[in-house]
Amino acid sequence: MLLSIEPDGPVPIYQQIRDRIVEAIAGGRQPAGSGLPSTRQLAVDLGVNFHTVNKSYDQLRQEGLLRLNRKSGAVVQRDASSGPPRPDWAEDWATRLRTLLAEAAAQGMPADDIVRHCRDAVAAFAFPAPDGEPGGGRGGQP
Amino acid sequence: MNAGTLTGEVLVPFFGAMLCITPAVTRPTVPFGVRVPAEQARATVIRHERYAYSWRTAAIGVCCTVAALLLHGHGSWWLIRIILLLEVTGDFGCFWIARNKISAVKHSEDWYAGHRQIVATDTSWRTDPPRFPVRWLIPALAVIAATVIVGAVRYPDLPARLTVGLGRHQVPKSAVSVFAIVVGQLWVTVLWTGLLLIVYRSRPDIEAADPAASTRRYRRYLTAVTQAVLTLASIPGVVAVTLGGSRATNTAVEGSDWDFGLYYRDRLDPADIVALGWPGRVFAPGEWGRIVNGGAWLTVDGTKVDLIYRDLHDVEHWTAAAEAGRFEIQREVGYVAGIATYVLAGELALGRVLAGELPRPPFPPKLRETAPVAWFRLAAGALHFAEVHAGRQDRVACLANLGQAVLATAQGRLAAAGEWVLNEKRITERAGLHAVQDRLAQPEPDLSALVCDVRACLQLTDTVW
Repeated sequence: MLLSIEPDGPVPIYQQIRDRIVEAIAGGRQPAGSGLPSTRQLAVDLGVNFHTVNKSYDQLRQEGLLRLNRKSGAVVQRDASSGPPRPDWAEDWATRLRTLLAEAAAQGMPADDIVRHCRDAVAAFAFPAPDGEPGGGRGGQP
Repeated sequence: MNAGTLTGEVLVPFFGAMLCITPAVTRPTVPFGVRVPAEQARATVIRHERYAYSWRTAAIGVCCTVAALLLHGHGSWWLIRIILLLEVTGDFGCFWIARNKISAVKHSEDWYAGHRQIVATDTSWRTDPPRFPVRWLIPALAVIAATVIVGAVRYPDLPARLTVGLGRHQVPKSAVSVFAIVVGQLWVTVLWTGLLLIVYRSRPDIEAADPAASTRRYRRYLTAVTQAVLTLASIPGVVAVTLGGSRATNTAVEGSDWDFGLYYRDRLDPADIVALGWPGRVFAPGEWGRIVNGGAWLTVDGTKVDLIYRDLHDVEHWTAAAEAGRFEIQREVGYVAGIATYVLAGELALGRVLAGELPRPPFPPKLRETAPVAWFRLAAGALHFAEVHAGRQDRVACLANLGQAVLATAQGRLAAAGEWVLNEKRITERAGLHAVQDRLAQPEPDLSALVCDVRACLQLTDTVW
């Protein structure tokens, strides 16, 4: 997985790292069971502080996406094929999505455009095929 | 002559040239270690600083090389090291000046205004790191193992004293001195493997503009470099390759073949040369004689290439002897007056070292005194026998002895002048004996008159032989 961050961007670096990893999981490039570099290693490769990467990993762990293990390192715990999310999480996510969509509507984006953007984004994700086989996975599941 | 002066002659210009061309081989977007946007890579300040850097370092390199050459033979070996240190420090100073100037302009003109800085990494480099090509270590390890086995098998037959190092000191035979070569092989192999492993673990060089392609390129590059280095580390026994013959002394004529001296220590396996796969004939070491040793006649892409083996043990022995003014004249095919053992030292002096380290002896002052005496004595003797044969009207024996007298005189004159002679090609002219050539060009029925004329040309002062 290729990970690019903008050190001078408006979004905090730990947030950028976390977002890129979530996108890679959704896109099938980092399927459940695949490993990520250790926090120290990733910090060296990106030229950022070790605590920054630690914070991203910790956030992903709290969201249940990452399993941090002393022995096996950081391993992706779930992806699109791991079953439906917890109901309370879905509720929380719907609230955040509403805010995000509201921003577009407030800026005057037509409803069709908002829906089109949503459809394009979802089309790039790797969902399991209806018959249970993992489909559309560009990264391939081990 | 020792390794110290050799360091000065070779390393000072080498480092000067390497540091001078360094900016030309670095990435254009990182001139002198300053990262700049692609559209500023040809900015005036960068071009100007590149130009200034090459002039400054070239000047430093030339000055230091001249100083090292002037000091050659004088002063202590560490003087050369100090010159080398000054040269490298000066070049780094030039680098630092260029870097600061570019960096100052970059910041004052704010080259990165309107740019987004992106840092990219490939996590698979850590989770699925490129495999170190362990199998490419097999040749190097096989060579070491083979050396150990051959050493163990041949240990009882080895001479009681062994020559070690580039210096010509000899040590008594022992397990330590015999297997020191294995330690050397192990050191080279371990050193390069360790360095490559560090490179494998270090941060890959990824361009943020195209991370996927640059990661692929870097993986390929790393594999290729590793395989090449591991293969080179395995080349057995051959410690130095020199370009000799006419190509090195700039006397090459069109169609001259390429002569390469292959200096080896302790053993050279002709099978390794056969394994190079070029057509031709390969001889075993020692097959051509004690001094000329052996060689191979190969054809590489239609060009005739001659390899000539030289046992460093013999070379060092006879070079040391020549420095003390001692030498022998031995019989050898192609050398009518005989081959002097100091030819081996002359080859070191005249050959161009392509790889490895070899001493480059100047013509020893003591040899300038002892060699002419021996050659002139030989010439006087040959002249006497020419006279004897002339008296019996034996044309072949008379002319053969005359030829030997002329060539020996030429050898003696050139040795007196401190000039190396590697073979008898054109030495008559080099020694200023054109008159003999002219005299022999005329048909002459009277052999005694001929001998008398040649004797006059040779102007040998002493007729005792």
